[in-house]
Amino acid sequence: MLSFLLRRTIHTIFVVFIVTIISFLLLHIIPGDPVVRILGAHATAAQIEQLRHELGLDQPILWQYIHWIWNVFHGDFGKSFIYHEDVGSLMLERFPVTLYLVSISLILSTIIGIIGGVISAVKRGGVADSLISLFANTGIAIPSFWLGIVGIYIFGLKLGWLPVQGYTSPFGDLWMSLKQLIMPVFATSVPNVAIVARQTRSSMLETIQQDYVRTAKSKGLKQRVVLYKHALRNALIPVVTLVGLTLAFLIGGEFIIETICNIPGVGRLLVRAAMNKDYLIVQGGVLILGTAICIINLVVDVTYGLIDPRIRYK
Amino acid sequence: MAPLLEVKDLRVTFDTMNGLVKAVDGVSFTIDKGEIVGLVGESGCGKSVSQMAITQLVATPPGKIVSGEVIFEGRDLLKYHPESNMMRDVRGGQIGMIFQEPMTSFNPVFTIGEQIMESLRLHLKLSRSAARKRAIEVLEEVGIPDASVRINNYPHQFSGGMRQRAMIAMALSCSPKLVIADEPTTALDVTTQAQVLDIMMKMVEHYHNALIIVTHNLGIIARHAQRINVMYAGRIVESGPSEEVFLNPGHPYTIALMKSVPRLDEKRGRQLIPISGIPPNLINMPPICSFKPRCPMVDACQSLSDPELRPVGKNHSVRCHLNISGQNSGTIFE
Ligand SMILES: Nc1ncnc2c1ncn2[C@@H]1O[C@H](COP(=O)(O)OP(=O)(O)OP(=O)(O)O)[C@@H](O)[C@H]1O
Ligand SMILES: [Mg+2]
Repeated sequence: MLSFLLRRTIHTIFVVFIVTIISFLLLHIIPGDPVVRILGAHATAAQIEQLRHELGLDQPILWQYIHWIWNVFHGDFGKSFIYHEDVGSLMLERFPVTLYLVSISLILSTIIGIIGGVISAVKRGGVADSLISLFANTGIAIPSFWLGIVGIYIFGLKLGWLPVQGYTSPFGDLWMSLKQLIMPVFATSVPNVAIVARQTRSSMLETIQQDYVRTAKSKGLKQRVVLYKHALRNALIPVVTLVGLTLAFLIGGEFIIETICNIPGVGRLLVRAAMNKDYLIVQGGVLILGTAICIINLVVDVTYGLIDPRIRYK
Repeated sequence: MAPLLEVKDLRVTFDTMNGLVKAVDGVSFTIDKGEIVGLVGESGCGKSVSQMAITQLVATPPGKIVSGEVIFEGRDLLKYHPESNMMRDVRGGQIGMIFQEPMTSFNPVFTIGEQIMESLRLHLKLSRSAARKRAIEVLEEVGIPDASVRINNYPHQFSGGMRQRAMIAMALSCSPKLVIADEPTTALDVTTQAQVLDIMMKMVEHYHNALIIVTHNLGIIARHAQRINVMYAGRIVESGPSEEVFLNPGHPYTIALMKSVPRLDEKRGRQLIPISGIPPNLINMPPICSFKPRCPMVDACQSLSDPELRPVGKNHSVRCHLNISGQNSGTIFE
């Protein structure tokens, strides 16, 4: 298990490295000069040249990357052009907000998805199954941003039940914080619930057919024990893998929702920075999010091993 | 004395896309306490389904136990709901099952020990530690080396033969009065087969469990079973004491079957003769003898009707119009 963890950790670090290189390259390939953005369209060529030099943008791209990563290792993510602030502290401020929202969405949608999928499979062909399957099949097709916009329109503007936008720390005003949370969490979770429910349903249905489930029945175990001890645990193995994969999907939805609902998280910051070619923020964000996704995938792999002994004992 | 189990006119159907499959079509048989009965027949003739129906383990839908009685120790099990306490008490506690597929019959995510202990705790109400002790004991009895260590292994850490031994241990752990072994060794290689069968027979004889053994291995039946039932197309076509059936088979199908499978206890070099034709489709069976299209003695048979199971000797009955039993028929077409 320990060597497994070590191997996975090294692998993770390697992956994060690659991701930062790719995002660095991409930022330099897409058109638009950050210096022009900063100085405005009327800047003289000399001024532009001057600033490029100050920012190190006249250096070869490989050198720029090495310079950046070297500084990152020393805790310096650089300064934002638009906020004129340290990228590190900008991230630090916003990261907890995104983490808070994404964790709630992830946990909630996984639990609800699994419960829905199991009910659907166990009551196969019944009313509950039809409703859940209908939801699961449509939910996958509905994008988060659409849900967010429609949600704001109906519950925020028309009915006035929920705040239209904004974010409050749960440590400040918990009630307000929860109310503001409902819309974005709902919008990002729906597609996820649908994906998880579908996978759980099909995997549960397949598991119920297995020989070991018949063995469990032939021992005289209660239906409940057969289903929720013997079948479910096996059925969850592919679901766990899926949850790891949907995380990236969830974060994508989160970015857009943060922008729509005006939530001061990493997502909104990154979207804004990308539009302004504030590339140090984008770089820093990619690094942090990439690391976070990799860590969660690591957790998923470990969970996988916990559920399935065949993996653990390889 | 009343038999331990009496199955009367059992009928099981499957509702499939092609039509209603009459997988078990009026099967009746009995087994006494401590008796060993062999059940043979071609693939798809309804052996497994008829055995699963005894403890109502047939998947419903698509399956359906249409009619019949399964009288076990005086009670008709089919009168109870499949999930009733009575039925669950019988399963594992009174009737132990051993299935064909050792590779997939254990749950991969629980240890062998946990799975055996689960039965013991449920039926014998043992504590965790007592169940563990007993599980180690039964594993030792079926010949698992280092049982006290191996009990913590997961199924994938066991070989096929060991898994099937463990399966036997699990089925026998609660001392059921009846054990149903459905082709317990078919999936194993030949040497392992012999060992595992040997262990199973020793265990059953030692604990005096009654045993229904479904197998293609006629040698096993000749050696261990007191009686034999031969199934064809969802019905029993011949039933009798195994010695009698081997010496004087009364159904052409039984004879053909005996010619088609090797017997371990026999002289080598006998030519195996496959049964010609294909097993009938169990959908829309015409009301004639189901073996007629394949019967090698069809020329001698004048009757067009569907034969009934009729007695031809002491405890020996046959579903055939002809009278071939009693003339040392085992040697016909040799
Ligand atoms: N779940 C099912 N759905 C539809 N038909 C089924 C199902 N299970 C069994 N049957 C049908 O019932 C018939 C009897 O099957 P069964 O498994 O009892 O055969 P068997 O005699 O045990 O054969 P084998 O020697 O291959 O194990 C077969 O013709 C099969 O097509
Ligand atoms: Mg079978």
